[in-house]
Amino acid sequence: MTDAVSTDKPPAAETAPPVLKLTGLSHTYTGQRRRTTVLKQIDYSFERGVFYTILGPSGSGKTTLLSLASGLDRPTAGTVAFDGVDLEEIGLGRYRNRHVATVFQQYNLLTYMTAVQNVTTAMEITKVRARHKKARALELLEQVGLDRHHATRNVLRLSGGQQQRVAIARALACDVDILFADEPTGNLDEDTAEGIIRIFRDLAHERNKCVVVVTHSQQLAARSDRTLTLRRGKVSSR
Amino acid sequence: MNFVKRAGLSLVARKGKTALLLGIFLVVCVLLLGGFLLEGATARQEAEAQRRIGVDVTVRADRLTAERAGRLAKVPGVQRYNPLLRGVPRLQGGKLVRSDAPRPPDSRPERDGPRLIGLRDSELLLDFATGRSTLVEGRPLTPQDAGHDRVLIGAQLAELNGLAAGDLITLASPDGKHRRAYEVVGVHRDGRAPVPDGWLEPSELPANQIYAPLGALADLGLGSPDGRLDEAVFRLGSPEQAEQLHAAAQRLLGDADFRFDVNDKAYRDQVQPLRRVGAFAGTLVWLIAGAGTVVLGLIVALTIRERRDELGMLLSLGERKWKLIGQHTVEVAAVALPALALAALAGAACAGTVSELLPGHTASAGALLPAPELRLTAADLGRVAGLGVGIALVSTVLPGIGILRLHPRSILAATD
Repeated sequence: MTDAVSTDKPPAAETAPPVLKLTGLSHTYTGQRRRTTVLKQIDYSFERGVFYTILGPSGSGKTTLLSLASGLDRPTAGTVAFDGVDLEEIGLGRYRNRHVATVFQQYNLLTYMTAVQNVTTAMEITKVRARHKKARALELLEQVGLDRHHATRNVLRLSGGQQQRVAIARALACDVDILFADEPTGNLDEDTAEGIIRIFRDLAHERNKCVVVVTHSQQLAARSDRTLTLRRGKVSSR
Repeated sequence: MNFVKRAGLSLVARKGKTALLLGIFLVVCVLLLGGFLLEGATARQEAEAQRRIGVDVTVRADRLTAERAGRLAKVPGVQRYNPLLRGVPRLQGGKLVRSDAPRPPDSRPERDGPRLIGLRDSELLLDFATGRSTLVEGRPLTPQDAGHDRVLIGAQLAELNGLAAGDLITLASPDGKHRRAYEVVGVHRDGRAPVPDGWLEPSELPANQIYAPLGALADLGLGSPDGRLDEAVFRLGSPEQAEQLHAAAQRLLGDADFRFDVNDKAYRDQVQPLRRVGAFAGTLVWLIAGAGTVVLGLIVALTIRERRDELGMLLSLGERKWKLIGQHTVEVAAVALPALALAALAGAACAGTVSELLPGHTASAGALLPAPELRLTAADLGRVAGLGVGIALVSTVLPGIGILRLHPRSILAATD
């Protein structure tokens, strides 16, 4: 039940049922003086094995859409369903814990921990079954371009780009069905950004995950399978 | 239980704040401990005062005998008792202390003898209990002296006759028919002037007072044939217990010439200030507990505000809210326990300071009450630990309710 489906980059599995389905999704912020409707009646289905990007001008509702889809917030109208089950039924906390991981724009790392501790803590909370969590965390950090020396430093002693990479490694470590990311390459140099995009693509295409990235970057959008554009609370895709 | 590990990492990483929290907790625990020490010491001092001073009830009645006084002594609340009978025997082969003033011509015929007071327990006499009379030599008369020929004499009388503890003094009945030698077991000195300015007959001078077991008076043919006592003094723990004794005494002795006097002045003088200090300590404890809770609660609340991003992050990973509260509780408790241990170590020093506040040293108590015993008991530590943990819980859980209302989206995402 998509508004429009792009045809230029076909999904990995045409017949696969949607992993995430937004139905009549609307969201309104109520301020002291006025109400602002950010999303209006959005219907869209996300599939496994597809790398999505969401584009749109500032204030178009990208982050709100990501928050609702990732179970960080409840819509004022409409539903979000994971594998055909309403999130309200699953429970937002459980959904976030078991099925999704999010890379935030502001990284939101635990500042009293090292990079590797941030990753292992996320693995513990999301109950990832890994025998050697620390080794796995170091491996993921290396994948995103952080060597062992930096991995064992307190995150406050890392640069913005390095912190961003820790946030990405943390999301990857959770081994979930859907990965959301809000401007994940904004603070990264070109080479590192390219490496991250490759990881996202591999995650979608080789490990059959659904990857949804909110970005302003046309370059990143060009590398995704499908691009949604948000404008005035409505979504269109190509 | 990864929240415990997180709490540990957080405490280590935030050394400054941990030290601040530890300092505040230490101050709260030391103050609480001080309050409990003060409360405990005053309670012990009060119990000691009750034991030593108590409330003296004097019963007089026509039908009061030693046997009936003994029955009344079994009424609950009565700690000790003293049947009293006075008489004037003759002093054989010795000199009496006399007034320097001339005898008025119109005075009644002089009874030339000392005042012999028969009793059971000389320490129970108000003069001794309040410190007005003190023992300068030997020992007091106790119930174990009953049936023995032993006496306690005044210091001036002893000096005048060259007597000391262990010597014998001979007393005789007024008619001279009965005569007995008594061993001096103790010498007492009365704080009042031994010989007042005006004329008093020898038996009325405090210096000529001789205390002996009750039976001595009968041996010397003093007292009434029916064994009637002048009065009996009962020592009670507190004034509240007098009512029961009054009812029992009235039942046993009837209304004829019945008098029941409660003397709780000494008790009030000693115990009331202690009670006030105890009540103050109790109030202090709760004030400190309240203030400690508020201060720590505010600190934890501010910390939670500062750590909203962290909480939002953990919530976004699906961490349960009770575990977030658990992490904060562990962080506060991990500070509270060392603070408690340090406070226990500081307890002795605190006790020394607190002892200065206690009224046990006041002049009115004289040598009556010993120095207050300030000791750190396991119960005190337990109470401080209980309150400390309570403060930690309240100051963590109340701001923690805010965590329950948190929503990760509102914490993490920038508004569109």
